[in-house]
Amino acid sequence: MNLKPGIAESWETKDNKTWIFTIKKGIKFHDDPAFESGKGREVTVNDVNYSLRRLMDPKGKGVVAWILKGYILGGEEFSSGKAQELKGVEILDDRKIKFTLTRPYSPFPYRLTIYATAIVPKEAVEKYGDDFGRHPVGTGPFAFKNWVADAEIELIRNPKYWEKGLPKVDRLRFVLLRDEMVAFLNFTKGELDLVNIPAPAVSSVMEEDGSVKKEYRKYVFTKNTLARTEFYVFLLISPPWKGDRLLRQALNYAIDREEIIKFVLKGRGVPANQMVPPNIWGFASNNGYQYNPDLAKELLRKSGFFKARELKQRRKTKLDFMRGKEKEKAEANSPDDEELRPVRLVADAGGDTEKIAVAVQEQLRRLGVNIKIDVVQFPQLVDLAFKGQAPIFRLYFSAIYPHPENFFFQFLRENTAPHGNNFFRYSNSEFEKLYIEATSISEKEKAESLYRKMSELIIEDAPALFLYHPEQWVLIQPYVKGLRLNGLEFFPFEKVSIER
Amino acid sequence: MTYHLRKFGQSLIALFFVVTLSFFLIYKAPAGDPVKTMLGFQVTEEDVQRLRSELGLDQSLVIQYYIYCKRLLKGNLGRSIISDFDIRQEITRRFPLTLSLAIIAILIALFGGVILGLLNTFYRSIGPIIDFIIVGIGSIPVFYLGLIIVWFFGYWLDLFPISGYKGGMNLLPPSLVLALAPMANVARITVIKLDQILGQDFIRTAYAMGFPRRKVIGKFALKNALLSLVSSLSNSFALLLGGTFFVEYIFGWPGMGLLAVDAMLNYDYPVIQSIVLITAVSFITINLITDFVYGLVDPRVME
Repeated sequence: MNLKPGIAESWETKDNKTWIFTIKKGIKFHDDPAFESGKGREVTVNDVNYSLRRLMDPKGKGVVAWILKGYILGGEEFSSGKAQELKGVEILDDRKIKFTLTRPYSPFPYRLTIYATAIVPKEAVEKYGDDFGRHPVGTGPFAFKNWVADAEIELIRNPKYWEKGLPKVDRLRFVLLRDEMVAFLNFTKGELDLVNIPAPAVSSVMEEDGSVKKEYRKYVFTKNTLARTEFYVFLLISPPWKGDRLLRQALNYAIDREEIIKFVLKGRGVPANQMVPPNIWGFASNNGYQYNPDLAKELLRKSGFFKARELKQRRKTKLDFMRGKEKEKAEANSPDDEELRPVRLVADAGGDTEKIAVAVQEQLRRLGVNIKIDVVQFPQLVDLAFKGQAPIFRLYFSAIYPHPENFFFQFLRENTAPHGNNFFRYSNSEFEKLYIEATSISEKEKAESLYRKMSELIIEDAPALFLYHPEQWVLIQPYVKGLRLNGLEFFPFEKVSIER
Repeated sequence: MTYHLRKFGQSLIALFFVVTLSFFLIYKAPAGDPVKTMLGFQVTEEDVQRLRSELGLDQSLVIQYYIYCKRLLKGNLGRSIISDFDIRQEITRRFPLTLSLAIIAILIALFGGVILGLLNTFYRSIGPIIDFIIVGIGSIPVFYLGLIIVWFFGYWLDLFPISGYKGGMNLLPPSLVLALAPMANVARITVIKLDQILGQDFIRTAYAMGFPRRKVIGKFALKNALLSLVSSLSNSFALLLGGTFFVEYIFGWPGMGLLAVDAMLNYDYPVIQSIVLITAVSFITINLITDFVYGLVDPRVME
């Protein structure tokens, strides 16, 4: 996946620290009553300035300020309300805008593709206020028409879209159904054009050998691997993995990902043997973690896991034979009972996560490592991830822009939770050096080799138990042409046409 | 008149307690932070603190309660923490959808149930079969029944659209699913009450005066059974208003049930509070109406 300019016509940088963006002429906003004439006016460089400042506005809720505030010079000060001016943004002329960053950062244009950085008109934001999210106005191929929560979202063709001849269809309707099977029945009845094959339907659509059954061959079947990595976080500051890389590696070798994908996901996934998904560049050239029970056993034996446990167990047994003062004294120095219990794994409820936790539990039990599963609601999972309250817990990273850096900034020291997203509490000087080097150079080949090295470091240090990259299995009606799915789930619907 | 006033006063007091309890109980609910759910994994602790103070969550509980009550009196229910919608607008849109489901369901339950009950009383020979039907439809779980109805009527027979919320045809299948349990209830009560009443002296007198059986049961007995039916139906109705989740889930009906369950799973407490409030108001209103209907059906209760 590569970047294609949208509102920007081009951009240039010499040092990856100052960026000059030139915007296209003649791009118009969607028609909306918010504009004086009701007709969408032309996008100017002021709109770019306004939209990006709005992201970081201290008066806003700040939900998406993280996208830019640490990167644009003066962003932190501006978004916390300490400074009125946003130093790093400067309008050069009516088509050029200059960004100064806090340090060289080559993925910057990628970062500007995150949906929240979309360019929006001030008039509409001010008119709708808090409800702007329910009346979005922008420049995209489709304009917003209607949204009924839990029922449908309707978009209509933007006739003034800047790419000539697009979009090809007049209307897009997203039908919001909770029950996947009901959605699937709706599709086979012909009321929907596109549907995900839900787990209960997989066996009726697919043959054992992975081909589509005869009665479903009239539809177009597509697999789409998401640019998302599902894994469990090893809290690196917590026993039993604290300082025990061999143990973390052992567990990674002990997971039979194919088995989990086959039985829990009904095939709808690919094994994750490292952090970066296969549809993003920059993954390690070695294959990362493959299922290898013998190697797992060997590594586990070399690791401190059993040694520590045995020692504790022995001390505890000794304690039982002591009496009086001697026992009190020994008890004060004795290991926590907590550490002798099974390791506590926390997963959130819903979807496949609970079943996967059970599968992992069983696979690790075969290795001799016992874990106990705690299922919580998602808000509680987020809370304990920030606070570091569980030794191992479920998490995923999704690509929000098609660049490997997406999967690495979470491993930096400066982002250690609770301040940032480094929930692992990972810290590696070599990794930091590679990150800074990789994000300050523009040449893709050179950067790629650095990202590869980072991937390899993450594999070696194993701060996570890698599980899988989810796969969407989609059925499309045969009359829908030109739909290309991608791992980021931003589907280019403007290129779709209906040919009956 | 005093009867009506007294009932009304009682309702207001009940409402006050519900508002207060729902406000304070939520803070005693198991941990979970809506602000963090809203922000997800991408933000820092500082962002969380800032947003919390913006939402007024860093104030003391008493002050928050004061602000909440003041807002409520203005008719402002606030905004959702998770999806930032105006709660009053959202409920104004969703409530009628759920209400219409419940009303249609209760009408189906009333007529269906009374007919089943009467059939059972009139034709003793097919009684066991009707009993079987009554017990059967009353015991199938709603979500299972819903799926079967979707598959059989919506997909296989193609009698109605599988999901959607706009047309009248869309209203019928979910209402039918909702109606079955209360219908079984109504039928059972009709049978039992008629049985009791038919053994009483005035019925014997009516027979003695030469009224035909149809008229005795249909007019005298049924009228006396009505009081029990009213109370049973008002209960069912109130339960239906709060129990549409599964049906909404399956039929893609954008009503209150989905809103309520989402809010609870995400600890979106302004929404939870509002839903508790609306549900309480509906319960109280239904009870009030029931009390008044009692008064009409049986003037003795007003004394």
